[in-house]
Amino acid sequence: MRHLQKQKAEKDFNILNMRPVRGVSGLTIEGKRGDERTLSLYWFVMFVIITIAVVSGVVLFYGRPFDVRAAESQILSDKLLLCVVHDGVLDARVFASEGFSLERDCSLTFTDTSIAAYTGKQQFYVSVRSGGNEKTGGNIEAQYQAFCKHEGSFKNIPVCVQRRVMVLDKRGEGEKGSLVPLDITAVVAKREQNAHS
Amino acid sequence: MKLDSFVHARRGNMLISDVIFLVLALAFVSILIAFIVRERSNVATLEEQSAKEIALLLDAAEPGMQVSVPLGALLEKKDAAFSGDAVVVDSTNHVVRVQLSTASGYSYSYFNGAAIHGAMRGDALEVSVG
Repeated sequence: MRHLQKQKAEKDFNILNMRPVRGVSGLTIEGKRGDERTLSLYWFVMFVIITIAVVSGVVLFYGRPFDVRAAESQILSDKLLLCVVHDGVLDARVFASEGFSLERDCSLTFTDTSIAAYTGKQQFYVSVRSGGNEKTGGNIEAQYQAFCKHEGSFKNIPVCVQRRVMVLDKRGEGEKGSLVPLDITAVVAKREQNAHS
Repeated sequence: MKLDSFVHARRGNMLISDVIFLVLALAFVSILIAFIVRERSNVATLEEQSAKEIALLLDAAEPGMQVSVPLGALLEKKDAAFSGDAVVVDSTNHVVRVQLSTASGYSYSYFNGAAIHGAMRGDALEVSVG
């Protein structure tokens, strides 16, 4: 019994002093229990870091709204083009008549009541320009067109599509038309529903 | 004999600790995968995605078109306690609303001013553009 107690005392002394003693597989270090505890703590910290990284990545990815404004502004631009150009000829009514409205005459509606933030504030801006003449529609006061060509400079800005097509501009029936450039601008704001604030 | 008992004690400790580690690691990975799958099929995400897709479809539609949109996969996620239509096309306010439960729902507007009529017929959304 005393012999066992002595052995235990020596073992404890060696653990405290970390002396190399002869073990089962040759020379080992007593107190290896302390290394295993350190390793477990390392693994735990690693698990926590991995968990935080994965959860953050998933939440950030699926928390971001889907931004469909690029497709939406492209479709709007196509609609405008089909409205003001027929068989390659610019519709004379667009710039000739003061009463021509892009919203009414092109079967568009720019009023948005999907969320409360959009009530009373239209989220679109459209413009058709040719030969010094321009027709606009949508929210003119908001100056959405100022964000065109600034996609890389700012975040969460309205999405703008600008196109230039060559069309025939005929003045009256039978007159030989001239090829003129037609600039179409379509801007979709809707930041609250598409951009990650 | 002392040596044997020492070796057997070390073997038992190593096996138990390895098993515990493996079990914890598997549980950890399983929880992460379950979290990712749950986020992926989140109802709010599906509602937003569907509402925007349908709104884009309505934007691009031309007068005279009739479109049938299959929504079987979306309707599978609908809450059984919710009795309303999963997809509602409000032609007066030009808004598409997708709602899969009483506590959720997503609305998105479309700019097509043509006379659009949309209604659910079974698992599909039938749209006619006048």
